Amino acid sequence: MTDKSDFRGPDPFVYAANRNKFTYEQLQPYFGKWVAWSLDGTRILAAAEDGKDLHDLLVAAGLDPHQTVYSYVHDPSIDCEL
Amino acid sequence: MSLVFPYLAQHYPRPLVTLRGATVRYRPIFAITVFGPSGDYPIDVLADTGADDILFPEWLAARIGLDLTNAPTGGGSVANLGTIPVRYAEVRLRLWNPHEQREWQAWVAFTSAPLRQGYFGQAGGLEYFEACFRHWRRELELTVAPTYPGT
Repeated sequence: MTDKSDFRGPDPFVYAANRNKFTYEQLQPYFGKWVAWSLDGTRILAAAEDGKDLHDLLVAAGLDPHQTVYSYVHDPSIDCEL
Repeated sequence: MSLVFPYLAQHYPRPLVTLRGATVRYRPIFAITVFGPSGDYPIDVLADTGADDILFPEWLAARIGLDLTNAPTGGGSVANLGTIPVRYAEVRLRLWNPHEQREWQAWVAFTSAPLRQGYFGQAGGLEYFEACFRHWRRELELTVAPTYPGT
């Protein structure tokens, strides 16, 4: 478990600023999938149809699953979420 | 002191009628860290004043070491999924930015239904904060309320 003293979460401003730069085309391969973002929001480190698979994908790639943010990439073929 | 979260963008390949032709929607989505007996994970959640509870996908419970076998159960409703089964557990939650950190215990719901996102709803979440949705600035500001039970 991450100790309070060494915790490094995503800086909300850095995370959002970088994520918001991703274009429709860049995100297209991930529509409808769960992904693991880098803490700074600059990279998608793993993607899976089911979020439960992300952990194993990250570990297999030699990455620390705790140093990511799990998120869903919405499919923009749906105009609005209600 | 408060926690400010910029909205996250979703880009569309066509103009959206209700946004007067814009091709980007912004949503109050931010990362929250969920702690369990064996680990912690940051996961994006939608701040949703229409959500009664905090809701996460059930696979997250397994990853943080929560055994939901004997957890209290219930039913929930999510717009795109209809009625869904939920199981409840108490977890520690943390919101963080470089200037402020908030951490508290809360009962949250987990569902095996195929959620498209986590939800930061009223019970255990928004009830502890004064939430200011500044859509015009595309940011959410959370300030702890007198009811806030954490650190």
